[in-house]
Amino acid sequence: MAVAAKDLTKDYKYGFNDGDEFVFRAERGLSPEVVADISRRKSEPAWMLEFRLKALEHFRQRPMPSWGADLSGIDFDDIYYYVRPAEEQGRTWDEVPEGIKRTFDRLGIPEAERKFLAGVSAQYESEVVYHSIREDLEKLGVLFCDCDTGLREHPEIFRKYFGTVIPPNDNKFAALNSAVWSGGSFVYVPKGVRVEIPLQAYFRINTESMGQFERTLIIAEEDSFVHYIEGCTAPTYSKDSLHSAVVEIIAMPNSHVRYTTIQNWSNNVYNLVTKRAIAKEHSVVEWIDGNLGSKVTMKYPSIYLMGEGAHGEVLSVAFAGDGQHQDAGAKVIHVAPNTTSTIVSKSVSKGTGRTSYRGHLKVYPKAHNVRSSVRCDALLLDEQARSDTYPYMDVEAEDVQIGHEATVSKVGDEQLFYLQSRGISEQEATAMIVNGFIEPFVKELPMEYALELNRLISLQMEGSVG
Amino acid sequence: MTETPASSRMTREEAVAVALAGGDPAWLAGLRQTALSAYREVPWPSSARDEDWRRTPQIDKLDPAKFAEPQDLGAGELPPYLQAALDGPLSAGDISAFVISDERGNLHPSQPVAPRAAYPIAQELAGGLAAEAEVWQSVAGKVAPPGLRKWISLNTVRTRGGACVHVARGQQPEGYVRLLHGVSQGSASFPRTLIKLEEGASLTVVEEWVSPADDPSLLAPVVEVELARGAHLTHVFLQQCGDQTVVQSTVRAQVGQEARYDVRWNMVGAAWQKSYFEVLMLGEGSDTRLVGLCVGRQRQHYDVQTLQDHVARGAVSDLLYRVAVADRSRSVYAGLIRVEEGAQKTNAYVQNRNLLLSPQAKSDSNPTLEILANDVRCTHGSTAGRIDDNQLFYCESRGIEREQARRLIVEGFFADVVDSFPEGTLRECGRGVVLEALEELARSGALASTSRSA
Repeated sequence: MAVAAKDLTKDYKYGFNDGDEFVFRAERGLSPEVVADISRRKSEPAWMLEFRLKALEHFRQRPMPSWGADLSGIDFDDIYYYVRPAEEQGRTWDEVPEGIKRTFDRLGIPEAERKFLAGVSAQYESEVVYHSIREDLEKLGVLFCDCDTGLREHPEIFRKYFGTVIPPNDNKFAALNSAVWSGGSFVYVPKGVRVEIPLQAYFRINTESMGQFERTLIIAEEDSFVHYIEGCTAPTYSKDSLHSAVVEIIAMPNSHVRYTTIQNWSNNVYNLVTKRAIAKEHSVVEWIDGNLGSKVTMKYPSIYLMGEGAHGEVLSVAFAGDGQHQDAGAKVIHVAPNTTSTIVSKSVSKGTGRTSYRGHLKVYPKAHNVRSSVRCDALLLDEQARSDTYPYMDVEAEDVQIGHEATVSKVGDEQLFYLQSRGISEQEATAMIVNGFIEPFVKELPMEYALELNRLISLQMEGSVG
Repeated sequence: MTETPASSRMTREEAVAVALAGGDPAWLAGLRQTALSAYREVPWPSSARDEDWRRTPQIDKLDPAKFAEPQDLGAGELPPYLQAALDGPLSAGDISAFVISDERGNLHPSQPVAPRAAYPIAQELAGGLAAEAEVWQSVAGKVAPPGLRKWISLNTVRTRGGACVHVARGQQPEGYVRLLHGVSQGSASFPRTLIKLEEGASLTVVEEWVSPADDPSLLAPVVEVELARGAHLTHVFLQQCGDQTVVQSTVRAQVGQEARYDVRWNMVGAAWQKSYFEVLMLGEGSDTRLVGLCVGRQRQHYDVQTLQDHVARGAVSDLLYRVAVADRSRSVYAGLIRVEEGAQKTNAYVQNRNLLLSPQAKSDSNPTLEILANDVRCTHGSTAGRIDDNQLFYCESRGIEREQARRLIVEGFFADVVDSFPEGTLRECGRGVVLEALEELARSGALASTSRSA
């Protein structure tokens, strides 16, 4: 199958920029002064400043990871670590500065909100510029705001959980985020409350050489349910941007948290994210993780099954086009007995794209009667494409059932032939097969997202067959 | 982690290298010097830094300074454990050639086995290297370059015994070549096996790695195999070391066009082991089957690392590794399928199955894929679990006692590995090793029913 090299950026419809739109921008580079300045501008309590400075120190001492994707292109001194786009956060879209509102209009956020969301948060550069939550949920005590507001207005809950799932010294990029974090979402769902309609956060980077470091903390109390969706885009620049988020989830007994990501950064963003959930007794945590954009992604959503009977699920799709490296995966740590987990990873490499599945499944000695299955499938569309699979399995308990399977293959000639013999063009047929390949993922998405994802995939696939 | 100091030990290595090189042909002396430099340059591995060693700490168990200098027991005198191995079930088979070595080098038993081959297929290491220099120059240090790993360079510097196995074009000797490598007296042995099969040749080689019980020796063999076009080698490894022995082995092969490499291994015994099986699929349409098993008990630690490197297109490789771990033993497995650019139409498979016989036993499984071509079919599977309650119930409902039932189930777990051994003496020996290991497990109570940990 001869393949025409395709300029992906050409079809990246979110690649526009709106000129520099900000009221304050910290100087380039990272220093204790920059960190202190961020903290001061946010009028944070002393403990947070101390937390940030400690994290900065750790970030400086920690070496770059020697494994995974090539990160040598990141110049930490050439990045803006904090850009404040507006003075105030809007409660209605009219309160959002015109230029920024136009951006989100073009991204279709206000429209989506009207149609099918219970709450929306929109982050532009370092700060959340728009925020809303349905009144009925607010009355039930559901908190959904940006993390800065969480710290300011709900300090008891915030401080109790912040940094407990992912401490600053967890890894180099968690340390970086802990030092300069800004924005993100703070979600608190009280006992017994089920938020049936998804909450959504939308992240947008606009400035060139910008670093976005949002911080998300989700606490689901007993017997509650919440589905949180995030999406992200950025303009296409010649210089690289850095996105390094930290997401912490605490799922209390019998709760159910579903976290969906559609990552569609432009191809000049390094996306280095730490995501981790703690699942207590009989709770369910699901990561639904779609990686389509970015230059390099390193992201391994993890679940610590701490309580008996807890269940973890990671369902992910990675699509790497020319020049992209999606180093994604999943981690599930079985600490408690009778816990179960499922990991399904689907990846597609096209052109010179590279996908890697990097997983870790661990069963601690006292975790008996654990069941887990890990399945990774990779599809290679072109000769230069590359796929790697690195699942680690550590089993320290006897009474377990662990299964892992991985396959790597190209689009089946028989399948292509079958479709083509029915009058479907090769390109269409290939796109159909790819869509079928990721079907288990797509069917877990809300309808609107599923449609959007299918559209994105067919965009990526365009011109892939010649 | 012990960072081994360079100075004092190096002097000894150097002395040994120079002494050994004294009797070597010039090319071999040169190779030993290269290996010595490589040994010095490659840092001592660390489980914090090196992925290969992450799950196998205590690397200082391999420190060559810990082992005694070989003692001269008198020429021709075989220590009892070697004599016992020599007289073992394999002696009943159809042996076409025979070589024996231990830490002192190649040995010449007073009652040698009479091989039936019409021409010498296998020779002692030194004799073979001297007699067929032009053959071995392209194999020794080429298939397993000294710089690849510290232990390969160490073996290259210090090897004094082993075998050269060479089959000429189109020759297909009957029976099997028997290579017996032992170590004892708390010393270190570095046997080297070189195998070269010319075009269309076919051969079966069985290598035994043995040591006496309660002997804290180091057995560190390096095996280099080169298969020319259309050649077929069946390579069986039967390891029955004593429970105190440390094993560090490398088996590395280059498989040519339409050649076939069949490897079978039984790993039993040894206190602590790190073994590599690496196959480079250099020829189009080559075919490799790796099938092995391991039984761990007490505090044994087995680390096996495999590589199926597909360089040429249209090659097939298939690996099955079954592990049963009892007591507090631990298995570590890492298996990489790598498909290089251009190696289209590759078909590769890895399967690792782990049976946990005790709540304290542990298995790590890490099959990995690195695929740089697209028209391929590469798959791996890995499982870990304990004995299925339904199977136990089935046996017990038919009047089989629990312990006996567990033993049968473990035996059944290994059946497909054993059945893949070449029919006849080799398969019976393979089965014998498994049955003996199970007997040992039963004796120590490791097969008695385990109660669930609360």
